[in-house]
Amino acid sequence: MFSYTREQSTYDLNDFEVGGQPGVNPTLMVGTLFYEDQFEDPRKEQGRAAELIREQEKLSQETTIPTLVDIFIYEKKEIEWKIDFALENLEGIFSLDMPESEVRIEVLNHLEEIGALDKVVFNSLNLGATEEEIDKLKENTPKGAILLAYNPQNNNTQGRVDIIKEGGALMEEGLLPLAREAGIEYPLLDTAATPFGEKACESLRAIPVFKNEFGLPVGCSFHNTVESWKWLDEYESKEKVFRTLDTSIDNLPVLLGADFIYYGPIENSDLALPNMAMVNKLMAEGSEDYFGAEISEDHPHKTL
Amino acid sequence: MSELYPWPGNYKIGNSDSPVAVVTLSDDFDFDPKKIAIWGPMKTENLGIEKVIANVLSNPNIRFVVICGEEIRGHRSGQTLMALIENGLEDNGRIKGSKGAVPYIENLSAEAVDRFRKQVDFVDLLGVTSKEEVEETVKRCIEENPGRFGEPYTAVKIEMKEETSFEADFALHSSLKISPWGEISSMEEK
Repeated sequence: MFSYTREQSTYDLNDFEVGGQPGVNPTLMVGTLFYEDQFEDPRKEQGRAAELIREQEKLSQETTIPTLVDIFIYEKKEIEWKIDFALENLEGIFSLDMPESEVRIEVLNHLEEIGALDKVVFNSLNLGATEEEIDKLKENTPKGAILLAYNPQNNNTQGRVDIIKEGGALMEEGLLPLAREAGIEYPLLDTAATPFGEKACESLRAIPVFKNEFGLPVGCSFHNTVESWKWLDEYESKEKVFRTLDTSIDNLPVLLGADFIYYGPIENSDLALPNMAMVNKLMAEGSEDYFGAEISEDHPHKTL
Repeated sequence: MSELYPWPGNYKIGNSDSPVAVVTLSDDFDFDPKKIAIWGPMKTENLGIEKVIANVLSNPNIRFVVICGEEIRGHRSGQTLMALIENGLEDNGRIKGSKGAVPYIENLSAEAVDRFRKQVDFVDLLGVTSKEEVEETVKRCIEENPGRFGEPYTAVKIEMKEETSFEADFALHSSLKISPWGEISSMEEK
């Protein structure tokens, strides 16, 4: 068990706290919806998508692990209906995952038009942001943003810190100063999971380094490392073990103090949330016994 | 002798004398190994492209890269590979004209990328999932083979090293100090 001498900021998202010293607040778990190949025809399967949200909410209540939903938007033509879907089916803040810069710009325009910028965690502000996107973020500023520390020029921990802090060798400015300039209230630092063989463990090592360096909520989407594992992809018993591996890898960053986890397919909430409740209980007990931390009444440490 | 296809990846190997490599993006194809030198999917617009470059450079017989299959949404890996061959890199390693998420080449030298761009032409079959159509294109490439492009080129992966040691009084990272009581602080702090 660890604690940080540096003060750790917390954010109040949808009535729960994110961030702080390890073990004190439950880990925010974010399940992803409308990822590639989840549905044959996503637009026609919104009913099933809504069911998956309800399942995650139910498990969140049962385990007292806080959750958000992350919605993938790949193309401009999906923007309107997916955001409508999110506003109809989700209360409070949700995350929008948009890999392409052009799509992110259009999403910011649309959110401004409908007055929903304060509902969104923008996923993500990263190295791929164009000047136009950065200008747009300053104009139409979402409430929160994932700042992705992916640095292909140097994917050691220091390279990841550099991208957040001052841009490294690839950007003129760091992602955090950019987010601050834009007025993003809740920057969430993502240490950027990389595949095995591409300094995968640095995403883990970066967790305590980021917590110490920035004092802000830190997390990652470590299941991506599992999903890019070639051996597992060809393993004969993949079906049997995949969901377990995809969710249990998240225990590692949390042990080092990660505050939020993008755990991948929302279908995995039935495994991911009880698993995280178990890890959170253990850590809270350790923090309370050892550091004298005060654990809230609605933490799995007290509720389960 | 230099090693053929030295960078590991999810690819299949056929006839190394063939002038054709096929990038199948998100699809899998069961090609005739006599016709094609190497083929396989390519998911990412940065590390995936680097693997294709390094492996193609190891075989100077390859003169065409056929890019087929469904595009990887978000990453735009197929469009990005074509943009790289067509336009090259900006000074900071960003692929000019790419619409992908994080289109950077950082683990290969500029020389390796230049050589790749000179060695191969691409054939745009983006979105084509018909094996017959791809094989027809491969056949045409074989007919138009301009011949071997000199000697094999070994692309060295550029890696950044950090100074680390098990002798020092830290375990997680050189910037962090962990007290015997589990408190993490910066190395320079008292």
